[in-house]
Amino acid sequence: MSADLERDLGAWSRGELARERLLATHGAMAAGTIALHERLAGIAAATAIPDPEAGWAALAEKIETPAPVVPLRRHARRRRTVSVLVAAAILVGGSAFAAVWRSSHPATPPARSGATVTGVPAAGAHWTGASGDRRPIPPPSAAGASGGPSGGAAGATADGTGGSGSTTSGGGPKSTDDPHDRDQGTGNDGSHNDQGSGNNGTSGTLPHVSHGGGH
Amino acid sequence: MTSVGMEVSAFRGGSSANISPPGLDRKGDDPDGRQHERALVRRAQDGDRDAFGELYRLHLPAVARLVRFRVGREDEDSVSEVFLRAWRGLSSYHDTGVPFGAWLYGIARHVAIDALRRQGRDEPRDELPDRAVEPMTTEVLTLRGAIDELPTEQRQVIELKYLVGMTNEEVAAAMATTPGAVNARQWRALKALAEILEEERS
Repeated sequence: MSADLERDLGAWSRGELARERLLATHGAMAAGTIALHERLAGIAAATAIPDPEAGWAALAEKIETPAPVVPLRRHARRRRTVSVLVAAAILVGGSAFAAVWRSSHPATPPARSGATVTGVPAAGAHWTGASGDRRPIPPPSAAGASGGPSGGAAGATADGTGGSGSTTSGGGPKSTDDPHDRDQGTGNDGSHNDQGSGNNGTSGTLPHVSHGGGH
Repeated sequence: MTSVGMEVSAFRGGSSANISPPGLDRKGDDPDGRQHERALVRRAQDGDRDAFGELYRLHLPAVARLVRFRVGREDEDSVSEVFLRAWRGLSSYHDTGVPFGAWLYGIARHVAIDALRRQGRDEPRDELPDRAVEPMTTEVLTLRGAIDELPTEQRQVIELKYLVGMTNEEVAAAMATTPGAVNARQWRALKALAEILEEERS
């Protein structure tokens, strides 16, 4: 069907084009379409329509109760708001708990072997070293015990595993130590660059060079 | 909406095609009528039965025509069922530009399908030819079969235009397209329909 025919049929259906003109222009093609159009229109027009008043009276009896208007969206919005509030409360509460916990439990690195050694100078045999290394060690020597802040020596008195400060460098700062390293080679503050002066990591792993001078 | 069920734009075409279905109150393309219908729908959604009664009177002819065409006979129970379902489901109708009549059309199609299923279950097959005795039924059944073979969009245009009685603008709003596209679909659908009927005849 051509666009012209569609356009002219539309114009005819709106009463803007005479039927004769349409048929004269498009011939049989338009005639068949017009015939079907009128057939459908005739079927629609011939349909008997029930009496509206009687029909409504019968229907009204069935719809006595008002239509249930359920504001679904409003409920959904409320649920969404509650969910957001609960999530926010959990977030804030969790953050607050974490802050309190952190302030009451100072941050301590997992591997505390060096600290254990220096903090408990004469507690008899105790455990040190990496988590997998659970050998009893003898009490620290007097030198190690008196090492004090220069715990590299104390660490060295352990087993050289977690605190392997050498006898030559364990007590004092080295030039290669990190300037921000507070304990300057004592090896007790976890993840710092102590360049072989003791504990060199949170996990208590072995330093690159361990002199094990504690024995 | 003023013209749903009241005005088949095609009915206005040409002097011989100017057929006004009985019981229809034409208001033309009065935009105020559309606003009036929207207000009625809102009131009905708030539980106003009188407003729904007015909607019932407005759309009864279109629904009755559609049910008659789809079911193949006059079926007042099905017509009532359409409006009953509409009343119960009014809260789910949101005026997004789709005419209320198009929404009713969807309900009416489902009700007609249910009625046909019931009919198929309840009545023995050998009773079916008896209905062909009714004048128009044979023609309606033939046309309905041919319309059902059309692509969905063309079928919808034919039903919305000729049975529901919508204008091109209303059909365009219902189908999210343009009145020009509706016009083209209408005539193409009629051409395809003529070919289907010709094939069946031969």
